[in-house]
Amino acid sequence: MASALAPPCAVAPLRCRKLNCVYSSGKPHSSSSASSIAPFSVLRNAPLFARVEIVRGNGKRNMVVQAQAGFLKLLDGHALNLDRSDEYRIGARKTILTASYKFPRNDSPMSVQLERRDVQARSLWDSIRSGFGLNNSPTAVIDTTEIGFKEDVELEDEREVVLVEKVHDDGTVEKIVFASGVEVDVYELEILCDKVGWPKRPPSKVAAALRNSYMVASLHLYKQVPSTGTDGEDPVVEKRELIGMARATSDHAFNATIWDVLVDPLYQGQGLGKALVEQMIRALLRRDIGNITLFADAQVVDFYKGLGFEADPDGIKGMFWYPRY
Amino acid sequence: MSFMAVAPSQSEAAGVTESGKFSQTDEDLESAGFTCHSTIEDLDLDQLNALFSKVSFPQRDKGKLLRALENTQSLVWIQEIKTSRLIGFARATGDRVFHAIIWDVVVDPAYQGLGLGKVLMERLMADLMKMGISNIALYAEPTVIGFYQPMGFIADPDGIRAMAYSRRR
Repeated sequence: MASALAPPCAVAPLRCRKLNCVYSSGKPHSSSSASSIAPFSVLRNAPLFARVEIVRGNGKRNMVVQAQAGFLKLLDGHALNLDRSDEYRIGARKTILTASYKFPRNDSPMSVQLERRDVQARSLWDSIRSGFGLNNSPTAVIDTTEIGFKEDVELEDEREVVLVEKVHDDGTVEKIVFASGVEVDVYELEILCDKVGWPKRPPSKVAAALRNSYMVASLHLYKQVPSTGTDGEDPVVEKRELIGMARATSDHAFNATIWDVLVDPLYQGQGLGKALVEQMIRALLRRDIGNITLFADAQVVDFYKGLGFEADPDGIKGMFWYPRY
Repeated sequence: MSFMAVAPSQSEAAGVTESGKFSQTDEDLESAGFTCHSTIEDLDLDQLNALFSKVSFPQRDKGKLLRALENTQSLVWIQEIKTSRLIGFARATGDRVFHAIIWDVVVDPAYQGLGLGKVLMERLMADLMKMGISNIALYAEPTVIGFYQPMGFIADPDGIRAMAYSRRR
């Protein structure tokens, strides 16, 4: 089996790698089909593992993607005629997904492009370089009729955006960073909620609410103080402080509702709330969530209008069950 | 009769009825020829799309629909026993702790007027209450605001407005 890896595209600062893999027919599989390609590993990366298997039969192929963590997107390769491209989010536990596509009926090599984003991308490329080719032994063909989404998937997407960067006279660097995949510490959040005057909520419940939220967006302040040691030493990140947060619940497909948008009063007035919501909207749209909703207190309706939200769209009214003020 | 300070039993508890009991029990529904489900097992996605189209809801891509249902906190659907037809549906999403939003409440127009909308809402709300969630919201089209009000839903409480992101800018 011939396989080739193209070098990663230089994409910064996003942690994503495009992998071009070319496959050609290998020896027939042990099944009864006349011509089949033995399944093989495309890439292997510990601790995040992914494999694409293609089995040919009757012009219709089954593409099985097995992964342990990360975010895999199947893209239409130039030699393939995919019915559609699908995004799959894979949780921390092993999840097996299937998709079937109509491939052209020929024996020419097919190319499959995988765009992969994961939280440990720094080691990803090295792992692939060392891992690929070591184990191309055919693996068992999984009966695709048995496979479906086995577990709830957890979104892992560490897209970070530096919103503000300030260098002070003494060399201290302050950065305000938006992230949609960084874990928010419940105790840091409690301090922040306190600062904006929100009522206290039990930490265990808050932790559960964050876990069950589709997206938790955060604004963190990073303070780097230059080292006073010898030349060539890297600056040390001294402090990280949570200064803003917003979260969204969702069915992962159609609707998302934004809750709990807050910014530390000390950092308000700088457009950070706007940036927080804007980045969150972008992240949700990237995930193809078509309906982004929220409930706005009367005094912030104009704020959200400025961000592209419409109140009472088509006369639709927000209703609450026995609300307590 | 002394005032009942204790909440009704969980199997009967309904957040939306004054009596705390369901307006129609499972037995009532069965006699009327319907059965209620609360999981996605045996839910036919084609039938669900057909039901959506009957009330002019958009048709959904089945892959996305499955994903949505698997990430839905609670759902209720009603099936006509004789025909196995899906005739009612409702679901709720949320963070399982503080908030829940109810979506896609649908009853087949041919079966409206039988109180099935209320049946759906009662059971969905009871499920949410069982989880300890009482902050429940929904987005109501103008024609159905009157349907939700008797159940205790209030529109724009304290000036809160429902907003949706509009890409037409």
